[in-house]
Amino acid sequence: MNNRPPETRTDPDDETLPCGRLLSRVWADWEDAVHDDHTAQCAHCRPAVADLERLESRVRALDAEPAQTSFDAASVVDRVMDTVRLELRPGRPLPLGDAAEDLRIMENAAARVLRRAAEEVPGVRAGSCRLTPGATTVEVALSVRAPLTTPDVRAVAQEVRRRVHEAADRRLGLRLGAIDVRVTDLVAEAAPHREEESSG
Amino acid sequence: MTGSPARSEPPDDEALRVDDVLMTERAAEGDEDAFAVLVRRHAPALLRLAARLLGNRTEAEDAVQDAFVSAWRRLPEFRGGSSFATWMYRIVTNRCLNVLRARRPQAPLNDLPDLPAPAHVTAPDRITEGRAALHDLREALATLSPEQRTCWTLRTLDGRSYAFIAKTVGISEQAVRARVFRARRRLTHTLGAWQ
Amino acid sequence: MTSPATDLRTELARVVEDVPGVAFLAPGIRRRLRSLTSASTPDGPTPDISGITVSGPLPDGSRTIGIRLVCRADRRVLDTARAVREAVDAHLGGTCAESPDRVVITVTGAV
Repeated sequence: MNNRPPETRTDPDDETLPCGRLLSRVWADWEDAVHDDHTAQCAHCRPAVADLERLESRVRALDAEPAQTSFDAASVVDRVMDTVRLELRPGRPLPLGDAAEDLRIMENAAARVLRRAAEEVPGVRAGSCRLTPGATTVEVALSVRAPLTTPDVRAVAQEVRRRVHEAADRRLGLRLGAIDVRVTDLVAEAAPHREEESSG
Repeated sequence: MTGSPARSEPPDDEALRVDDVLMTERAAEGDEDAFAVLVRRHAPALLRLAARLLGNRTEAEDAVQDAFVSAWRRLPEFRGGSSFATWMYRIVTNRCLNVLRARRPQAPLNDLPDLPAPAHVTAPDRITEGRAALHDLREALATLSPEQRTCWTLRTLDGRSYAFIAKTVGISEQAVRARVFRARRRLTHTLGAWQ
Repeated sequence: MTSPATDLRTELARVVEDVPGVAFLAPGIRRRLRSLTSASTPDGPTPDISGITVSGPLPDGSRTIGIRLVCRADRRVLDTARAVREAVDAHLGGTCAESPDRVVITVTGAV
């Protein structure tokens, strides 16, 4: 027993140990790795800590069981994507060629081609690509990441704009108006797609 | 703490995090291929998390599947206030919490002194003894309230901070601490009966 | 079970899929679910014609024909779409020259 008055319980489920300490505090100290002389020697605190340590080690054994660690991740991925493919969001139809031709391409399909064109600029990665049909042309708002080592960000944006314009014309046949390229971040270069993509 | 628990998350990698942001932007705009990249990348860690929360592989797989489908539907409104990983962690945790709530309570919650006495283990075989202990632990886990079990799992098995859990579950940090404490108290009581 | 409209859709499906630069018609639910039903026959006796829709005819006899397709990425999409239009017009002109049908072509992807 120490001489201090018993600690006050704020949680009705808490327990005041015979030494006056709250069980919740003893465990919190253990969790935060706070050591004091009392706990190390107290005949009530020490068993309380031992109980918790025993629980933690049992729990780790349970957590290592195969039922907790082996999954069919590939089949979960397949099932998710099956549902997603039934709920596609292709975006708006955009006019291809002249409006009178009644030819259209869905926003999503066009955006993929334009993102790919932007990524042909070395080190550039494309994110958001929004296409808005105007009276006669389609406006583009594209956000990209450029490498940290980029000496001239404006030049990179200009090059992206050029490639996007070219791809819209030569690969799609989409008439673009303004092309707004925003370099939203400069990032350390790294291989973008890696092995985990094929893990199952 | 005794040993550091293996967190259910993909490797901590700057390039991957940047790629996640890009893929999330694309997926939000309807690019299902970008979403597939995210699903493949995050499914293993989320399955681990769900299995820890539910203690059942099939239910874990269903919960993660539902969480991803719900994420796909909600992506157009996702504003990137948190990372895709954190967002998914929250969706999976809350989905599992609902699964736990839907389970029939396995035992009354206020019977601390009357916990069922575990079968007495007489076999000297330590493996058998260990198995029996795990079985008892599993049963004890089933008597926790869904909220206690969730907070305790994220803290003890997934090694998350109280602040992180509070944000994930949407309650105060103090409430998280109280739930983890109650779960520990209940579980150590059960464990005490083994001594 | 066939109807004149189904016959037309099946004919047009063949015409469209023969145009160079066309990868395939936009798949319907049946084909999109193939991964779930991979044990069943791949194309089956009936082709997936959900990429072709026919509405009408209106009182003036005109119909609106919708064609949704996926193009090959190695060809300019607009050129492919124009070639599809020509092929479809030629086919319709050959079968019912007098009807002023409207044909709307939508590209849903490029692969």
